[in-house]
Amino acid sequence: MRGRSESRTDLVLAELGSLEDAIDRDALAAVCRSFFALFGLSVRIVGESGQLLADVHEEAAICTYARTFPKGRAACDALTTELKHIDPGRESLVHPCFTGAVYRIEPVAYQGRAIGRLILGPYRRPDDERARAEREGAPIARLLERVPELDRAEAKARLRQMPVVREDTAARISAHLAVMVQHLAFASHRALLASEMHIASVRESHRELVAQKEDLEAAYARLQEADQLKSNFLSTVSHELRTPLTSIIGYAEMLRTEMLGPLDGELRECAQTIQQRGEHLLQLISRLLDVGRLERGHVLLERTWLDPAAAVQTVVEDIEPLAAKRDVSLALELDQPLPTLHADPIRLRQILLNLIENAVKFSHDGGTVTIRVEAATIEKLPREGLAAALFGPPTQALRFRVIDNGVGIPASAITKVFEPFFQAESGSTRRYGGAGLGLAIVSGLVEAHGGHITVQSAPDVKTEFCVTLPLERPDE
Amino acid sequence: MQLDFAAKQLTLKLVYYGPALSGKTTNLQALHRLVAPTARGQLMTLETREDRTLFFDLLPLTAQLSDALQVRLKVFTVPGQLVHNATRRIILQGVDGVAFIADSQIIETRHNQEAFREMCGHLQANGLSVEDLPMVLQLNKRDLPNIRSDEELRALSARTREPVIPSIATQGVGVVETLLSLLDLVWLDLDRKHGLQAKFGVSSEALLTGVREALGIREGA
Ligand SMILES: Nc1ncnc2c1ncn2[C@@H]1O[C@H](COP(=O)(O)OP(=O)(O)OP(=O)(O)O)[C@@H](O)[C@H]1O
Ligand SMILES: Nc1nc2c(ncn2[C@@H]2O[C@H](COP(=O)(O)OP(=O)(O)O)[C@@H](O)[C@H]2O)c(=O)[nH]1
Ligand SMILES: [Mg+2]
Ligand SMILES: [Mg+2]
Repeated sequence: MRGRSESRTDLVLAELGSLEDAIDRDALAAVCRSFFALFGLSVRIVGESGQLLADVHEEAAICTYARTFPKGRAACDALTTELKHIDPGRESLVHPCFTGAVYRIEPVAYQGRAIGRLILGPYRRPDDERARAEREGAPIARLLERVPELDRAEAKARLRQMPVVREDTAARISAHLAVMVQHLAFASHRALLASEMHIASVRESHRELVAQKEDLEAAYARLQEADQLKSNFLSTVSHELRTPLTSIIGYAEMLRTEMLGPLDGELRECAQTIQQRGEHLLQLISRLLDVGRLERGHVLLERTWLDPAAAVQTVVEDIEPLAAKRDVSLALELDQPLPTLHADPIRLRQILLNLIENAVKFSHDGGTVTIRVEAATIEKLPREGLAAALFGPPTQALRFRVIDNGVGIPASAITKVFEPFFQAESGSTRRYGGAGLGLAIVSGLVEAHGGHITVQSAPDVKTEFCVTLPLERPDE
Repeated sequence: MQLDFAAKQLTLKLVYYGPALSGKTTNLQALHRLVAPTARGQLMTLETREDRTLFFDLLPLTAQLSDALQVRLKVFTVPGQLVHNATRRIILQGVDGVAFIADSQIIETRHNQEAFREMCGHLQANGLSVEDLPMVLQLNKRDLPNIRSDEELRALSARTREPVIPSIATQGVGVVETLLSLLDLVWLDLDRKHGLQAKFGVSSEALLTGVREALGIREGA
C-alpha cells in the first residue's frame, strides 16, 4: 500500500506509467502459472526498470546440477541478473545460456511504448537447429569450460531432460503471452484511469464550487462597495456638482435674458460666457459619469426598432452649422433600402454625434466628411462567435462609416484612441478642445450593442471610423 | 504535446468535443475499424461500474513515420451528460487540437451552440487560447432527415476559418478526413511554436501521407 495517492498515470495524456505500477500481480502470476501448466516453459515478467513482476519456473535438472558447484552457481546467478536487464528493443531476441539452452526475450509494448518484457526459458532448440548452433561450438564443451567440475555424461543426460521448443513455436507462444500481458495492462490501466478520473473530477468540482463561492463573495463585496460608491461618488457628482451648476447656469441665463433688469453689452457677454462654460462643464460631468458606467458595464440599453437613415440624418442636420463654420461639407451616402436596427436611439445618436463631430473637428478647413450607411453581415467569425453560427443564419448587421480627409491619426497612436482621456497630440487639447472621452464612450456603447468599431488612418488623405452593429444582439 | 527525443516520439492529444450523442464515440469506433491493427491500440471506454457514467473514450494510435519519428495520437472524447462538466474541463487540459463534433439535425442547433460555448469557457479556464487552438468542425449524421442543408454547410464553411467536414460516422464517412485535417492543423501549429519540421525533417505533407500510410487507412471501409 502506498501512503498517499500519488498519480501513477499521467492524466493529461492518460499514459500508463509503467507495468510495475499498474499491473495486478496476482492476475499476472495466475496467467504465468497457467502458461507454465500448458507449455511446461518457465516464464518471468519484468518491468521496464528490470523489476521482476512474475516468476513461474521449475529449476531444470541441469541447472540444479550446475548450481551444486560454486562456478556453476555464480554463472547461473550472473545470467539471471543479466537477463532481467537486456532490452530487446522493438523485436524479440534469443539469448544463450551457458548450459547450451536459450532464453527468449519478448518486449511488451503498450500504446506505442515499451512497458516491460517477458523472459521465456530456458529451453533447448530441436536437433536440426542445435546442429547449426553446434557448428558454432559444441555447447557441452563450452559448459565444461565454464564449470570444469561437471561430469560430462551426467550433464549431457540432464540437459536432455530440458524441454525442446522449435524457434517459430517459441516465437508464437511468447508473442501470444505478450498480448495477454497487454490485455492485463489494459484492464489495469482502465481501472486506474477510472479511479483517478473520478478523484480528479470530484476535486475539480470541489475547486469549481469553492471558486464560485469566492466569486460570489467577491461580487457581493464589489456590489456593496459599488453601492457605497454610488451613494457617495455618484450622488456627490450629480448632486453636489450638478445642482449648484444648474443654478449658476440658470442665473446666468436670467441675467443674459435681462429678466432681472437691463444689462449693458459687456455684462451681457459675461453672462453669456458664464452660461456657455457652465453648460460645457455640465456636459463634461455627464460624460465622465458615462465613461465610469461603461467601464463597469452598467449601461442599460433601451432598444427599439429604429430607422437608421433617419437617425443619421438628424445627427447630420445638427452638426451642419458647426461644419459650415469651418467650411467642411458633409456628404451622406445611404444604401437603399436599409434594414431597421434594434438599438437604443439615444445611445446610437451619441455614437454618431461623437464620430461626426471628431471628423469635422479634425478636418482641414474646406474638407469633406462622408458618412456611409450600408447593410452588412458580420463575416469572419472569431471563435467565441462561432457558437452563434452553429448553425444559425449569418449575423445581419449595419455598418456606419465616417470618413474624413483631415489631419488623421499617426500610426503610433491608432491603438490608443479608444482609451479614455487619450488625445493624439498632447498640444491638441488647446488646438482642438475636448477631453478625450468621446471615443471611449463610443466604443463602450458599440460593444454594449454587441458590435465592433475599427479605425484606419492615412493622415491628410483618409481617416475612417467604421462601426458595425448587429441588427439584433446575437443571443436575443 | 510530449516530445521524447530519446525515443524519437511525438505524442499529441486530440479531443473530440461536442454535445451528448453527436457521434463522438462513433467516430472513435469508426477510426478503430479503419486503422490497421498494427497502428491502433485497444479502444478504451471509461465507465464506472456502479452508475455507468462515462468519463471518456480513448483511442491510441501509433504511426511509425521513419526511424527518426514515431507519432503517437491519443484521441479522447468527452462525456456528454451535463453533470460531467468538471470531467470535460479536465479532459481538455493540455489538448493540442479539438474536433468539434456537431449534430447536423436542426433540432440539435441549441445543443451544438451550448456545447461550443461551454468548450470555449473550459479552454479559457485551462489557460488555452480559444482563438488559436487548432480546430475542425465536423457536421455529423448527414444521413438523417431534417438536417442542416449542404448549402448551409457551405455558407458556414465560408464564414469560418475552421475546416467544416460533413460526416456519417456510423458509416465511417468523413471520419478519417476529420482526424487528418485536425492533425495537419496541429502539426502546423506546433511547428510554428517548436520548429518541429526542422527538428524531425518532416514537412506537413510528408507527415500527412506518412500517417495515412502508417495507419494503413482504408477509407469508407
Ligand atoms: N477623425 C479624426 N481624425 C483625426 N484624429 C482623430 C479623429 N477622431 C479622433 N481622433 C483622435 O483621437 C483622440 C480621441 O478622440 P475623442 O473623441 O475620444 O476625444 P476628443 O475628441 O479629443 O475629446 P472629446 O470627444 O472628449 O470632446 C482625439 O483627440 C484625436 O487625437
Ligand atoms: N444516423 C446516424 N446516427 C449516428 C451517426 N453517428 C452517430 N450516430 C448515432 O448517434 C448515437 C450517439 O452516438 P455516440 O457516438 O454514442 O455519441 P457521443 O455521445 O457523442 O459519444 C448512437 O446511437 C449512434 O449510432 C451518423 O452519422 N448517422
Ligand atoms: Mg471627440
Ligand atoms: Mg460517447
